[in-house]
Amino acid sequence: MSSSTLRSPFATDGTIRGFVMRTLLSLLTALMVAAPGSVLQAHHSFAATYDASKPVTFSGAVTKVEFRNPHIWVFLDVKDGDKVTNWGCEGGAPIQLFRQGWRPDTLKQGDEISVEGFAARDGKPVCNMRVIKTGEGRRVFAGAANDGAPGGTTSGTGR
Amino acid sequence: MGTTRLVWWCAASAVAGIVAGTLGSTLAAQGSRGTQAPRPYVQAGPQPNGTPVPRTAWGKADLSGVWNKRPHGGTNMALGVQPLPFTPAGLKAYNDVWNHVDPTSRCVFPGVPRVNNSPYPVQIIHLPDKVIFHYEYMHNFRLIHTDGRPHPKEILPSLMGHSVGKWDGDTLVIDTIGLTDRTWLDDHGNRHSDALHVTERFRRISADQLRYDATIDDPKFYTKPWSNGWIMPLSPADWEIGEYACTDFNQASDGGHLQPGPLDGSLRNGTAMPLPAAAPRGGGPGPGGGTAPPGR
Repeated sequence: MSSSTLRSPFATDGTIRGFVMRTLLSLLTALMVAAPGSVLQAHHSFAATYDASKPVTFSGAVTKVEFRNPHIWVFLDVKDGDKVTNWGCEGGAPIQLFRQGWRPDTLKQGDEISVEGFAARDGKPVCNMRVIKTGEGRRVFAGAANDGAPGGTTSGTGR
Repeated sequence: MGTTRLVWWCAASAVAGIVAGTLGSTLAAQGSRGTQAPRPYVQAGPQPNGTPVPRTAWGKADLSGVWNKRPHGGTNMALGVQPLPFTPAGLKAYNDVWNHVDPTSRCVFPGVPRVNNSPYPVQIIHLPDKVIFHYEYMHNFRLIHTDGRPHPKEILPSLMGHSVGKWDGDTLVIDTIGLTDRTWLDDHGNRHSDALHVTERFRRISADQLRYDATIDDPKFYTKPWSNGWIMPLSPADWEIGEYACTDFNQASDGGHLQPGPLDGSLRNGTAMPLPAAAPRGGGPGPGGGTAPPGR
């Protein structure tokens, strides 16, 4: 993904304006997390599906992004030797992520990303993503705080 | 609150609940239903900031605005209200939560008061004879008449119940009955029966703060009413209520991944909670308070 197409506030576009915006937005996000009016929330929360004792980290190519209610899903092919598993990972609510600067095309099919999250309780290749990093080293907020997952609002710069 | 304290707190809740359940059954047998005054404001969360309260053209403290109703992500309606005065049936339902998937995970409306401790903002439209609540969460609404009408004689039980409002000075008091037993009180798995009667109080206490209190009166599950409350901050000025739909692409539910138990992760191993060394009680905040368990 070329940097010019990035719309996330955490995008790296190398310009002064980008730096200022990034700094301001990061600060704003940090404040939103720290302030009483924290806006980062999600529902059908974490414990209904995911296991806090099963942290997972993996990388792969995005195969599909569903920027849809109630929570976005990012699917990616994860290689383990010759075996390829298509993981589906749940994020936050579209309206919330939109308010934070995410757009439906922030991640695209084919993007190489790494995901940090927690695996499903039922053992299927499903995860709750807390942080996504792109191949450019860009760290984007993926998950949803305040949903009962460990780490809460403290992990990731884009929270 | 550290993890250890959380464990103790959960444990204390269970033990206190058992004790309260025993005591409660005695009280219930005596036909005694006490009352509980609204809790004093003791939260560690935001405090009233004294900024001027906007007023409507007809002089009321104006409730209008988009409010970030679950400011801290707190999910336990009974936090700081321990021990809960369980009846035996109420305690049984509380402990049985592990055997059920949270109804909101299946897109059942949150009910009352849970609609107010669920995430996502609410827009309040304050009119002379009614107050309208537009909830982003599940695209829900409540229309509260404040023209003095009573509840209808016959009410078809519903997930959000039937509500009427009245003004107590600058405080909107909403009375809700006609609820089912198919909703829960919060993400923590606190439960209610179909006898639930909720009294909610909304008051704008500053330019950007709304004080919320709810009293849970459920004679089937609790021997006496209990209350909790917190402050809802005004949302950023550019926020509009957007679309949170529960059923468009709900893979957690449609994909069959949902598991039983409370949404907030408590009781997650499904076992009875251990005896605490000491039972902390009282003094804690409500759902908006500052000592919520980690990761909330």
